[in-house]
Amino acid sequence: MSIHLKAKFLSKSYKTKKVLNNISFDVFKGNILGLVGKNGAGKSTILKILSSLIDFGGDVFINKKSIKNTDSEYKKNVGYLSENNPLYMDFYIQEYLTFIGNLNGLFKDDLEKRKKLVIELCGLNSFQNEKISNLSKGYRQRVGIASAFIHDPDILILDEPTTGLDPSQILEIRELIKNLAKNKIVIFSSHLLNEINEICDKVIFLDKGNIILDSNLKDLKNKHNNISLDKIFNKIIVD
Amino acid sequence: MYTIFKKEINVFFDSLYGIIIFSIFFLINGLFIWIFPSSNIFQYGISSLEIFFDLVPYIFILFISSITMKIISEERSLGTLEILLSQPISYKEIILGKFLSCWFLSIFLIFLTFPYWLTIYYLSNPLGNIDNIIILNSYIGLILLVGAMNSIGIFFSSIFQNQIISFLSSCFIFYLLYEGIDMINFYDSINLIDSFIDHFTFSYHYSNFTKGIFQISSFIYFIIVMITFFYFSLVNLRIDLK
Repeated sequence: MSIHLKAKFLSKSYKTKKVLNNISFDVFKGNILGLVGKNGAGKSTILKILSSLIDFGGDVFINKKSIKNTDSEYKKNVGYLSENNPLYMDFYIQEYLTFIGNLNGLFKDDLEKRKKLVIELCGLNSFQNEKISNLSKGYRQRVGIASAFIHDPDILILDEPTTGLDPSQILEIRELIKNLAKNKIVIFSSHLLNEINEICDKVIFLDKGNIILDSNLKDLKNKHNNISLDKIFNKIIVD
Repeated sequence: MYTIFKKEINVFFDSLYGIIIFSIFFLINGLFIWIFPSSNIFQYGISSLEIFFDLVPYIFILFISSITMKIISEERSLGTLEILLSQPISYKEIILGKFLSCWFLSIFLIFLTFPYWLTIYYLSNPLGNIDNIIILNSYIGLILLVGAMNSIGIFFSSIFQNQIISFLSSCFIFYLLYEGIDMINFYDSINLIDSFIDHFTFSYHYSNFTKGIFQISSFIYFIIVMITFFYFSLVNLRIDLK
């Protein structure tokens, strides 16, 4: 089934400070949307809104259905990896995945099958009986990603999934995201423009809570004579 | 809700923290009730568990403050609350799961003191010469009392990110509700409102049960405290949405 996520006039203020200013965008199943911007541009706020973690103005529609009226139902369809990737450090990997799976209504055989699959896909096979506190940052990140899609959601939201990873781990995680995106909507934020360049189909540049560019990556490159994304970004910021 | 409940129980029993808290509970209880000469049951001369039921609320002040202090504040400070809030479960289920797990742990501890009842039963002369109705009602009162305490403790944990502040606030309020208000009532100047304030104290309602009376109003009082602070915790959790 095709899935269409449409965000309409999203706005968010913290006390008197406006962090999102009526922004709209949409994304389809099979696409990877990258959010780029400086610190405080509003990337994480958008991802939190899409994960139904904070109140917001405007609305988000999945196949024309507002998420505001179907919060619990919507969350079943969303996997979220937070920026700092908080985890229960005293849990074993298997135990943690069981916990998240149970919260998402997965039990017994279904749960075991999904656990086996996500452990395999995230390369956690040789660590599956380890305590999370014993893992390196890279492997903890994998556990976070594994838990985000253990329930096979249609929408995967990843807040800077490759932060703090070494180069080889970054490549592996990128490959994983590309594979997952084949039958999902993946929305992620990053500071790294080459990362956006590598894996995204669509990119949104944000600045102070406003969208300064929303474009298909291929079209964007063609329009700017295939110059690097860094240069395009700098050009847009200067303009 | 059951997943949250199960997680909290597992975390408690898997940790050294849980074992230490349980051990201290039984050590203090045991010393006061069976060993220390000033308070032990053998010196009391009557086959009754009155000493136990008088003492145990004070021990629960510490025990419940310890188990509830981190139940939400730790999740908030470590960021794991975000994991829970992003899952397809309601805020109500999160708080209810946490409340029931703490209440279950307290009831489990109370259940482990049943051998005290049997001991008194067999030590009495003639055999079985104890007032079972008083003991049964006291146990019911104690279960309700710890339920109310747990609900308040979770509320403080939902307010503060710092576990120590959450612990101290719970201890203070438990003590105030259990004994502090009674002590204030000793002053003549506020004697007029004495009986009115009394109705809001834990000790007043708990003592009805320990006298062997199952008073519906006391039962309702404890249930109302549980529901009220459950709701307050819920409101606090929703602040994270802002």
